[in-house]
Amino acid sequence: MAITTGDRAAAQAPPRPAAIGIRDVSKVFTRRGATVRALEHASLDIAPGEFVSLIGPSGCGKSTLLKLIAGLLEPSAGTVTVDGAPVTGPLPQVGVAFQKPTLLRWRTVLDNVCLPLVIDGDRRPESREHARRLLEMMGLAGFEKHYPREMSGGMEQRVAIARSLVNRPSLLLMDEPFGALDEFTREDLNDELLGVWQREPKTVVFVTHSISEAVFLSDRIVVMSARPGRIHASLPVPLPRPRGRELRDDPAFYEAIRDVRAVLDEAKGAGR
Amino acid sequence: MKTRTAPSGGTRADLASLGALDQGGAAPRRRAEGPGLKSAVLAVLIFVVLVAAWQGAASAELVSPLILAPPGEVIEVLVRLAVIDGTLWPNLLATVQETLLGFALAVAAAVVLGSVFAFSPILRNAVYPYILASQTFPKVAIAPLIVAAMGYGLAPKVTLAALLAFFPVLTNTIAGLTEVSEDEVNLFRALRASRWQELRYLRIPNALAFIFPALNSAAVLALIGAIVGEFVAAREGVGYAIAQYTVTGEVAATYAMLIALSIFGLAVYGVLSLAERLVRRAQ
Repeated sequence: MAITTGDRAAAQAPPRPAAIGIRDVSKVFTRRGATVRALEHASLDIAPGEFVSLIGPSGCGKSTLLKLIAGLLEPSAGTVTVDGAPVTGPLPQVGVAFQKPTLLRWRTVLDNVCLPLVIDGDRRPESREHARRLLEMMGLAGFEKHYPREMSGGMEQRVAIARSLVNRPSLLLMDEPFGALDEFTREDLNDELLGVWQREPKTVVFVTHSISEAVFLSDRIVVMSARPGRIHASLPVPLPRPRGRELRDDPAFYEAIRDVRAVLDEAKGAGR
Repeated sequence: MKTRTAPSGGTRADLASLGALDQGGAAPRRRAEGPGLKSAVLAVLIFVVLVAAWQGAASAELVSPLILAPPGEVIEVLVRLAVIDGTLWPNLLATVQETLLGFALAVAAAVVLGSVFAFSPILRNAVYPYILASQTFPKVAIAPLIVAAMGYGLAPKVTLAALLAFFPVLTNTIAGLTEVSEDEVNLFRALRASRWQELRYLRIPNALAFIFPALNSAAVLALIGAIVGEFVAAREGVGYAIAQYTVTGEVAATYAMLIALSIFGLAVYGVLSLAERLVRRAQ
């Protein structure tokens, strides 16, 4: 069920969320003659519509795994599939967001959000209208004509999130998108991301360093260990949805954080 | 002066201010007009003080009148050259023509060659050392040689102007086209942008931010090249006129020519700023 953004009809209705299959995937980098085993024998299935966070110490290969799913890297061994088809390059149904907002400084906020549409050759006014609505959802109504340099880090990242959503991806890949933000801004953006995700269901793979963020957002947390990068454990988050701000005061939330932390400590030990 | 390659000056500053603003809230760029007005008043004050000091130094003969003419006399001569006998214009026109031609040639060559180098690392690595080497000797030193080879006309001045103006534009074109972040490249790859789209929407706009600052230094260098060419051998031009006035001891006329040149320089700067704004708006 290939859903492409080029498909005009599909762009109207949200596409069905994508399924991901990772089979015994390894990735080896060679840098200056040294071999780095970034990822070894990773296997993971992500169901359509699932929100999965990848967490682990630096060098555990979580960003590598994300880039493999994005088709930005090729596995050294094993296969990555999206909706059953092997990933050989970037897919049209995927939206990406990085740690840095990566906005083009010469384009206005709205034009930055519309960049994926421009690349797709989608010039329909309703697509641009959709971009406007996304900005509104991210709390940026009225900032359409501003330039990135006129905005704070949190606002820039909101723009980047809106851009990742503009061509209605069935799969959203986010590489520590809120890693550089302060705690309050991060929580606001977590709320907004969940809001968007609940309104337009899609599969999300989310790389983070923050345990509380992972717990708050995810259906499942994949804990990874470093040197070599491996999948250490896969932990379902037993918290009900929909989730809102009040969850952060819930004892069950803290309990879930404690559980993940314990597994993460174990994973750190395993990496030594 | 040819080490003034100024790579990336503009963008770096932009990025730095961008980082500083990250902490701020909405639209922290704007400021009250206060500082602008204060700067204008200060600028006028500096002008008055400078002219007064100039006048003072001239009338007290702190500096020999063979070297420094009083400002009043300079203005008088400037008016005479510009309005009464009109000898300013053919000279200024000749220099302007040489400068602009040299500048245009240099920019065209540097942008074309810079683009080729940006997309062919093999060629860049092979040819760049020679270009770098050619920049390590002062090109004004070969001005007599160029005149000997090309004669007394327009060609040697244009060549010198172009040679001097070429390098900063070349380095900044290469830098602007190649210095995009890994994230930016990954973003465009993830969006499945074609090579042309990556060029059109990422690399060229990025390069413009590098090239425009380089154009300012290139214009100044082109002017220097033209003047030096005229010093060596010419029948007209500002450099030629200054050389003549120096021989005949017409100090005020020399200064008048310098003022005419600065006005030309400011005009070029203004045109370049305007061009930059227009291009940015068209993006």
